[in-house]
Amino acid sequence: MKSVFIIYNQALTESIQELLDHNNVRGFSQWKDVMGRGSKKGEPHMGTHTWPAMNSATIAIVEDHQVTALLSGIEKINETAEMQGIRAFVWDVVASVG
Amino acid sequence: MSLYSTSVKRPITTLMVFVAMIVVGLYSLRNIPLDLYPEIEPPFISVFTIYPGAGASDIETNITRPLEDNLSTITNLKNITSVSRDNISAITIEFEYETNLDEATNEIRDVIGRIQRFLPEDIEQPTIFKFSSSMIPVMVLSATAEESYPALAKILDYYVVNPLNRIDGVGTVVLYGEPIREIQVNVDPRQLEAYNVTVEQIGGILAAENINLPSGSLKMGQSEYPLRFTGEFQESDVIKRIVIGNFNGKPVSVSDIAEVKDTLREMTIEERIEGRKGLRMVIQRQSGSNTVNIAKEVTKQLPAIRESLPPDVELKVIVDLSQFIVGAINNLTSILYYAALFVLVVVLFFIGRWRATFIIIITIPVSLIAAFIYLYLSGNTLNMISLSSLAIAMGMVVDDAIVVLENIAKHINRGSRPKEAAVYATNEVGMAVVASTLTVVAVFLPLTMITGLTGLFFRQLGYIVTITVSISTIAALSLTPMLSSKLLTKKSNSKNGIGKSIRDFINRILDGLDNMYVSTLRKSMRNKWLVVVLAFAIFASSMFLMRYIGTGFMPEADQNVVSAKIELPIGVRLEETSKTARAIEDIIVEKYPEAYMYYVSSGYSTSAMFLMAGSSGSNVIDILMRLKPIKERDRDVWQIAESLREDFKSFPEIVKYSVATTGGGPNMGGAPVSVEIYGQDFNETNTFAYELSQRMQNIPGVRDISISRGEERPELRIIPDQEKMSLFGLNTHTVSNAIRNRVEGMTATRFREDGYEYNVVIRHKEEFRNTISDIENISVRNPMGRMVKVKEFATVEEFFAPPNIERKNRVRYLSVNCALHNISLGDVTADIQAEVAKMDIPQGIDIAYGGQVKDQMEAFSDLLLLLALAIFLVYIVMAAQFESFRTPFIIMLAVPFAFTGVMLALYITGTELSVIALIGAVILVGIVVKNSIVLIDYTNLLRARGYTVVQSVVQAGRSRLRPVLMTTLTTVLAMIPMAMSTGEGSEIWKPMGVAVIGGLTFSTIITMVFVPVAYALLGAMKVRKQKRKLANAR
Repeated sequence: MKSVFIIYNQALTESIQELLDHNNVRGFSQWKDVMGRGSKKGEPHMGTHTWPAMNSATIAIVEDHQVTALLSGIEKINETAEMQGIRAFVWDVVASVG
Repeated sequence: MSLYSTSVKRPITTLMVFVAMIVVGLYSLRNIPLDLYPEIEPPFISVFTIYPGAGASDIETNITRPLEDNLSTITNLKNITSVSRDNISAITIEFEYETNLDEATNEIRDVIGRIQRFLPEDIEQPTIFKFSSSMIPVMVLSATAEESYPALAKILDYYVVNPLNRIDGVGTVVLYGEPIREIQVNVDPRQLEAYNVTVEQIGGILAAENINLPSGSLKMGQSEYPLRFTGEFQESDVIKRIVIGNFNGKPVSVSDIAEVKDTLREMTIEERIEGRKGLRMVIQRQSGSNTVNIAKEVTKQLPAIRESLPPDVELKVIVDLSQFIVGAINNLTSILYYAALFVLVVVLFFIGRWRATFIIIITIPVSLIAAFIYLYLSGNTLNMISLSSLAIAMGMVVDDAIVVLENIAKHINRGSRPKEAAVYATNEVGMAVVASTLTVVAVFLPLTMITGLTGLFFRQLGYIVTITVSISTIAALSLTPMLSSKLLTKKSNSKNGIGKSIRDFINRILDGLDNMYVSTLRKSMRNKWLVVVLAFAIFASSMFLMRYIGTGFMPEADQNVVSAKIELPIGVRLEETSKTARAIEDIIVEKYPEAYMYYVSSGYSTSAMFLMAGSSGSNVIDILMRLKPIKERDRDVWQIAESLREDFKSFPEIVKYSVATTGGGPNMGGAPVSVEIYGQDFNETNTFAYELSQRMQNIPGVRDISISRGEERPELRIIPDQEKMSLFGLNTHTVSNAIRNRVEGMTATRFREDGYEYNVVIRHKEEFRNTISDIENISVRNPMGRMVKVKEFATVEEFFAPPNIERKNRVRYLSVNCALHNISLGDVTADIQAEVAKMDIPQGIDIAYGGQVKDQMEAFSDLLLLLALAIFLVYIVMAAQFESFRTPFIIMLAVPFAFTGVMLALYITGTELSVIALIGAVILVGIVVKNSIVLIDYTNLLRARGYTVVQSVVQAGRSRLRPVLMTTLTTVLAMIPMAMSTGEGSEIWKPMGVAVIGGLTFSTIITMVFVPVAYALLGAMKVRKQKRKLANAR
């Protein structure tokens, strides 16, 4: 199992939701109104007057085979809306209960 | 959950809420009555006290002064003026506007009750008279007739007045100049003496003969019959055959000593409508009813009423107040449509997409209709003020929607889904939109708090703009995102060939404009101080322009009416006055083809309304001309008035004339200029007033100068010698009645026919009551039965009655009034003040300025205070928004140049600075600040994002130029139809349009260059200060 952490402009929320559904990802957790700033060229999303945009963050723990499809979907979203800002990070899930 | 996310998520609910509002608004619109101005009740109450037989100065000391002294403590009293004439004291109390007049009336009644026992015993109970706006005639009709003239009053009463009275809202219908049937018994005094009978005897006999009397009842068989003696005259001819007495055994009948005429009463007024004999019918409304509705109903019924009249009776409408109102309202309505069209064009030009334009434009009807709901609920009318308010609001209500829509479009183009873009983009700009609305509200809401006449006038403006702008913000935060989420798509390149080339063309223009502006901005950033100096120079020089701009109170409108009042020398008899009136009629027919209806009346009416008006008499001619609509004539009313004045000058017998261009309508503020001269001494004040009026004649533009204190009137007095009178066994009562019966006439009895009563009046034949010696030769019979001639115990002398005594605020005063032609109120006042300064004012005389000058000064000081308040409030709102003292200051640097623009526009168009133009200047504060906010806000944002001051300024300029131009153009173009209109009433709102267009255009040009420069200068200062702080810290 891997965890996919997607952080994105909240204006993309619906697209992300659709992406998850499309890839049969049922479980996820989401944070709304997350502040952040891109590492390279991404505009700060601070929810202030100067930088009004805000991010949302979603973490989904998925089976390994689902990861590629998810990442390519995110890449596609990023291509159509480069200005909005979206990033995804994947890391291993060591254990889980419940 | 926020407003915008709710509305995006529940589009149908959102739509239904706004649909409901539109439906309620349209329903309200249907029920809002039309009027010219907001309802203003004149705050005047008069107290009339009659003291028979007392002269003017007795009245002043015994009645007017004690009453005034006690009345002057009443709450909310503004001025107390009085006129003491022979027999009557008239006190008028002026209150502050919006005083509760019912309470005031009660208070006055209390005061009168308290002091009545200190007043002379013989006075009649003082009457309290409350003036109301419903007394202004809604319509004046005229009726002319040929054969039916003698019966005209009866015909009109039955066929016209009755049906009109039944119309809902009609208060009274009064006939003026009606001919009244009268049976005259004109006796020959010589024959009376010969037959030894007196007028009183004839009167007694006629009264005794003209009687019906019940005489008991008669029982016959099973029935009972009432008995009735019917001696009443069956026809007026009977009077001739009535026997008065016996002389030398022969019966003497009335016809032996008098001629009996069944004719019309001698008229004290002669009414002529278009040269024909006729009369006027004045229709007044009930208070609270609506002028336009009444006039509409009357006009609807007139054809049927005309049908019912005899063929020679012609009914015409002389004055119809509603016509001007409806014309002006229609005119303004079409202005509103044009304004909406212009806004649409501007938005389409800048946005370039139909759907986006539709989303923005839809906020116009939505927010304007909200104003109708307010008008309906608050019981207001749809008037010129409320409609102009809508025109002002029109350009502003789209601003918020534009900002929101632009941001949504930006997000969509960046790749968001419309629905999410709508929510998040609105969220981003929501605060800014609300804040900019708050600045507008900060300017308009204080308008609702001013008091006085200005307050009554502009309260609606304040409420309507506040409401529409607030609703437009709500719509921008709910309806606009909702519609955007449904209608907007990612911008695709237009496939349509023509559309694309137009688009490209417009884009080229806008890009060129952007580049031009940026290069100007760069240049001025290099020469900051030069720009600052230039800006100050422009502002300072514009303030010099002020002295070339006239000032005035309210602009006067061309109401299609010219009226004139002409006075011949005092004491001229009606017949002579009528001759002059006929000559003037001929001139009107010949030289004024613009008049399609006119009436001329000479003499005075005995009705109460006219007595109130003061100067009336057999020497007065009233003229009213109703003109064709403005579009169908070349001369405006002022030119016609001026030409009439020239014509009046050619009559040597005319001593005084005044020409007005209002006629019938509400006359705001009275005489334009009124110089009040206070002083106890009659001669001194008279001389001063006369000299002043002579000097005023040389001031250009001054017309119709008149002095309020009447000239002394000649009168004849019969002065009895009491001793001789008692020797003859006569007393004053008998003699005075006897003389009155012979000259004025004795109403002996009433002749009844068809349910109407007509007076039977006995008096001397006209040729025996024309000279002083006729009076001296009047015989009175004494108790011993001897005929005594008046000259045996009395003399007839000519006297000059003292003038009316006018007082204001308990001091004697008189006023010199004048009208203006082609000159501003402010200039004339200055000229008069200069003339007064040249004269030496005797001790004890005080000068004050009243009339419209006073209203103007009061209104101006109110508005200047309001201006200061508005500027302060706007600063407060912005300081809070930006959390800074400095930024609002920079933003508000745009305000002075708005005033420069106003001055320039007024100067170029030759418009005077009136209350209306000043209101335009006040509302500019809110509008120009908006532009400046858009620019500075974005500059601040770029600074915060790490750009240098100059970079931020230039880039903000480039990016904000289009939004600023767009909001400015929507407001300016929405006002252009208002500033350019020429129809009915346009003179009134034009100055507002001119002021707003000039101020906004000019301030926008300056704002875009000067404000960034000022920002850079102050910003640089801040940077230096911070550097120094840092250096010190190290």
